Amino acid sequence: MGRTDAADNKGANKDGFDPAPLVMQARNGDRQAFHRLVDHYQPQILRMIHYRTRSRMDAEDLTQDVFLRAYKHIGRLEAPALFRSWLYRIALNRVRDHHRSQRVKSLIGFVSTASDDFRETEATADAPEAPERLEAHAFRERMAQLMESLSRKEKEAFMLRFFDELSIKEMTAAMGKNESTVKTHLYRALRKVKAAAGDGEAFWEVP
Amino acid sequence: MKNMKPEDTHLNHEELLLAVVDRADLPPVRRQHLEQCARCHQALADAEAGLARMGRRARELAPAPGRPFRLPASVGRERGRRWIPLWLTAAAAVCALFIAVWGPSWWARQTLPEGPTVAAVDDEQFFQVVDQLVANALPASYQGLASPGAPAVPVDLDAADDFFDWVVPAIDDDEDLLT
Repeated sequence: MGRTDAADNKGANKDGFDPAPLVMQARNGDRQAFHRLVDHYQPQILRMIHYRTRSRMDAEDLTQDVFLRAYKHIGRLEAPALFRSWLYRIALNRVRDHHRSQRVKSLIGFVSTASDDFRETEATADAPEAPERLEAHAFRERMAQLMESLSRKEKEAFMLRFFDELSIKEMTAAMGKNESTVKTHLYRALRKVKAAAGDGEAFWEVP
Repeated sequence: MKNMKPEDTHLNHEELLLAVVDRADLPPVRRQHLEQCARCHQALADAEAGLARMGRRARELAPAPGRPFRLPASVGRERGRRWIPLWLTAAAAVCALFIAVWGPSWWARQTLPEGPTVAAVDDEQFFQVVDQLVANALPASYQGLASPGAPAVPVDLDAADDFFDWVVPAIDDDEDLLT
């Protein structure tokens, strides 16, 4: 938080991984280079999609699709250093498409939806040990409560920043908005989350 | 408290949130206060730590990939194709439509000879005839009769005699009638 994003300017991510050379190799048809990129980013993209779909199966499928699309269109990526942001952008679009198709299915009775988030059934969900599951459930409930009043863009900004740990610059690329707009969404999101947390509690403490 | 300068007051909630987004967005005076005030610095650190904890917990609860991704052998990359911006595509479509609709008539105009067209020449001749008819509605031989002040027009004398004979018949003719 509050970092200077100096790493972004060099192309390296916060973890020191620089995707640019591998992206250049993948653009020239090197499949192994692309697989190395996948190995590095797949956990992040899967998590990111899982936060938004709440379904492991859907998250796995969508993640596969994100990387397939990324490989097909990697020639379009103008700035190899922004590969991570570009992946997040593809993933955000795929999640949006997924939600749209879920809504259409819900209209004709194939699936049921609850608000904007699609909750998996017990049969399809992970089945961790009971205490952990309870804790996870409590956390998700708390998150849902804190973010209830956020608009879609505010929620997106908040999650990209604090769950996915994107810098402001990466967020602008992933969301396709300018820096000022991204900061405004983030500021409003923080205000609403703070208000939802209540005055009596510590600043957005979570279980 | 009344005489407190802005740089002496602690950051309020709004300023704290602004600092969480990007502390560079704080006004210089408030940023300076944040750097020097241990209490505000701690408040910001607590807020950031709380948010970091939230994110870390979310990441811990998310699943790890179950299926490693490997490119199918049949999948190829887009080659030799660059992204064409939507606006450029739209502009090209408008140009193509304009050429399809207006192109033939423009081309026809370009291939016509210079000067008045055939239709224009016909029109001009037609209106000359009309003007002439309006100005000289009677046959030339009667125009001098209709307009006494008009300039003398050469008259066919035989025709004129016939006309007068018809208007004022000769006495001889009457006599013939009496006989």
